[in-house]
Order: sequence, then C-alpha cells, then structure tokens
Amino acid sequence: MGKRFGYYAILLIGLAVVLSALGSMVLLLLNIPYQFASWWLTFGVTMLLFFLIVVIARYIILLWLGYLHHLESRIEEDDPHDLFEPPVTIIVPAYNEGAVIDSAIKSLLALDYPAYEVLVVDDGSSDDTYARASALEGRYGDVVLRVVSKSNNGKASALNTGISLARHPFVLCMDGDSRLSRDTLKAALRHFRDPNVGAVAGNVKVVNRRNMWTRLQALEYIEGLNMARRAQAFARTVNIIPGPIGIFRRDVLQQLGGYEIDTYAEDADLTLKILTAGWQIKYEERAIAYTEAPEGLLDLLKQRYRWTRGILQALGKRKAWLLAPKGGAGVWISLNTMFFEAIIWPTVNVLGNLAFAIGTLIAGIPHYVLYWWMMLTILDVAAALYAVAMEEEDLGLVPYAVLYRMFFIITVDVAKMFASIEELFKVRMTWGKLERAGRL
Amino acid sequence: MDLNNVLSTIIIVAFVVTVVLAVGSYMLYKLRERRRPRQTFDPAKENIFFERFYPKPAPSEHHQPL
Repeated sequence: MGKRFGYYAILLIGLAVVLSALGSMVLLLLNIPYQFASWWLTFGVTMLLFFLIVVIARYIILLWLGYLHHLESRIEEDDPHDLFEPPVTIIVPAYNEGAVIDSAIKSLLALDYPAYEVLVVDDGSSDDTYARASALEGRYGDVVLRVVSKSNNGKASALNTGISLARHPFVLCMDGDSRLSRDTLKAALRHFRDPNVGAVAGNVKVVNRRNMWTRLQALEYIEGLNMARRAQAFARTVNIIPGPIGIFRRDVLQQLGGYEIDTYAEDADLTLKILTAGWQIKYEERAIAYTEAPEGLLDLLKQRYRWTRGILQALGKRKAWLLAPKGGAGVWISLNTMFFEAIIWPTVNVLGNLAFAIGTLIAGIPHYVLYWWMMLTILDVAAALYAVAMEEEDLGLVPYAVLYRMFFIITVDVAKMFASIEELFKVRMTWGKLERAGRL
Repeated sequence: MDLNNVLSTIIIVAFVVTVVLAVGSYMLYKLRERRRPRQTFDPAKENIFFERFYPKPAPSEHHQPL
C-alpha cells in the first residue's frame, strides 16, 4: 500500500511537471521574435513552431489517454468470485535455444492459472533444443507439456504449426527466449469475456539491463512503446501485438490464416489482419513478457531497421485501408498512427531538431537552444517519471531520460529514416536472427 | 561569451555529432550485414500455415506421460 501510494504521488508530480513544462514551452513560443530577414528563414521558423506543436500535442494525447487507460484498467479489475479462466495453449517457438530451453519451460510450468498446455515447437534446431525439451514432456498436475519438431522455416512458421496443433480455444504466442510473469494468463484471458475481442497485446519489458544501451531500451519500452500502447488501448486502436507476448482466439487465427511470411514484422502484419477483419484488440499491462534487448548498437539498429521495414511492408499490403476509413474510424486511426510513428515522427524528430539547431545559429538566437533543450529534457524526465511510476518500475531508469532525447532517439530515428527510404526504393533485405546474449 | 551561449554551443555540437555518429553507425551496420552470408527475403514463398510436424512419442520416464 505504502509503495503504491508513493508511486501514485510520483505519478501526480510527474503529471504536474509535464504540464508545467508544456506551459513553459508555449510561453517560450509566444516570446520568440517572429520577424526574420528572409522568407525562407520565416518558413523555417514556422516549420519549427509546427514541430514544437506536434511534440506538445503528442505528449498531451499520449499521457492523457494513457492515464485514462490506467484508471479504466483499475476499474475493470476482476471480481474474484466471477473469474473467466478458459483453457489456453502457450506456443513456444524454439530455434537453437538449447542453453535456455530447460529453464524457459520450467518457468512456464509455474504460471498462476488453473489449466493450460505448453506447446514447444522446435523449428529444426541444429543444437539439442528438441532433445532437452522432449525430455521434459508430460503432464504436471493440470498443466500439459508437449514438444514437436519441424523443419526450419522461421518463427512465423513455428507459430503457425503450434496454432494448428493447439488443443485449446485460446493461444498465447511468445518468443522462445522470453519469460512470462506468473499472472500473465489470469490478467490477459479476462478480456476475452467480450466476444468482440480477438486478441490481447501484452506488456514487454527488457530483462538484461546491463549496459547503457539496454537500460535506454528498458526506458524506451516503458516510456515510448508502452505509453503509446496504453493510449491506443483507451482509444481502442492498438496497432501492434508484440512478438514476445500476444494472446489470441485460436479460431480467429485459423480463419485469418495465421502468421504470414511476406513481411519482416509478422506480428504487425497479423495485428493489421485482425483489425481489418473487424476484431477488437486490447492491451493488458499486467500480462508481462521479459525479453532480451540487443546489447550492442549495431544489433539495435538491425532490430529497428527490420521493425520499420516490416511495418511499412505490412501497411503497404493494406494501402486502401490506410487511405480511406473502410473498416470504421478506429481501424483507420490505428493504421495511420502506425504510419505516423514508423515514418513521419522519426523524420520530423531528426529533421526538426537539425533545422532548429541550424536555424537558431543563422537567425542569431543560439541562446534559445539552451531553453529548448532544457524544456524538452524536463519534459522527457517528467514523462519518464510518470511512465515509470505508472508501471511501478525501477526509478533508476529515470535519469536515462536525459541521454534518451539527446542521443538514443536520434540514433534510432536516423536508422528508421534510412530503413523507410530503402523500403521506398525496395532495396533487397537480408534475413537473420538477432544475436542474443542468453541472459534469461 | 556568456554561459548561456557556451551551453547552447555544446548542445548544438553534441546534437550534430550525434546525427553524424548515427549516420556512421548505420553505414557500419549495413557494412556488417553485407559481409554476412545472405539469406534473401523471398515474398513469393508459399504460406506455411498448416505444415507437417514430427511428434515425438517417447516422453521422459520421471513423470506421468501424456
């Protein structure tokens, strides 16, 4: 109770600081002299003001909707006498996970849920993954562990095999190298009481917080990805069910043909398939998958490059849905939000900051850079505080918000920009598994 | 030069250097990928929804079989 009260206090302080920073930014904008020597300088400053307005609007929308979702999820918490706990199959695609498969399976067998099965699909591993997993095969109380093997054809193929072999009406698809929190199933399955809900997106957290890059990613997952997903959940426009944790009605997946292999982001592609088929997608922050983030810069860039091109490929398959609200406003907003976050926002962020830096120098008002940077940093730190408090996460991540704006986001956004350009020109892609350190 | 201008200059330089390093890192990543053996993306590959699998009939001995 005391800990939770403390987090709520931080939440309110964070919100107050965010609003103060936003107010200060508006005041700064009003005080900038708006008379410049040439038309192009005026045009540049106008673009910068537009950028600032977009930054402020984005923050306000995400924080406010996220907070409303937080309140909504507290109200919706289950009545302990009226639980909805249907049987579920957990599908674990495993490729060369021999070093960690034992511990992964044992952690899945210890979830807090009445009856479920764990189905390990060995995707043609060249190591001893299959031998180790099948040695554990059997029944453990009300939990059943099954292991199957198939020829190597990638994660999507392994998940599809699992979906076709699942014995229960609900399936949880995850990564072979992720772990689930104990109450994941209880928290997620309750949403399927609503017959219109086709899938539930879970909450992904970085587990290997060992160096600057992974701590920055841990903060990014909490402040960036989860805050956005929480806001989308309140607006009923969740547009990505993350690969490490997605829970589905099995018959929906079977009707839609499961995962496809023609994009680099099979999770984004499947999400759009579900949305455009008319199903609702919920977000459950208590259904947590702990996953390993790339530990080096180049692997991080590789991951973001694939995500960006994969999302663009998934959107490209549904151009008609992107341009016109065919399936209702919610679907249209979901697709366009995805497009905005994948291309528009990274481009605006890099070019906007660059234009601001150069513009202030040319216009002879470099001292505004300091104000600008300080306010953006205060805003980021406050937003980080707010998001970290909301998830009752490690407060030690908050100081990384300073590096987050200055270095991390710019580095990632530059990679996203290049990935978008390469996707536009259909540059050939290569396929490969991300290097994992095996920390789980 | 007052403190304000010094700090502003540091921020601008840090930002521009970050952008340059980000572009450099991206080039480095592309170079690394080019050196690795290629497994080219093939969108024409057929959908593999229902695929053959090879169940293992022999469960372990130390607990109850299915």
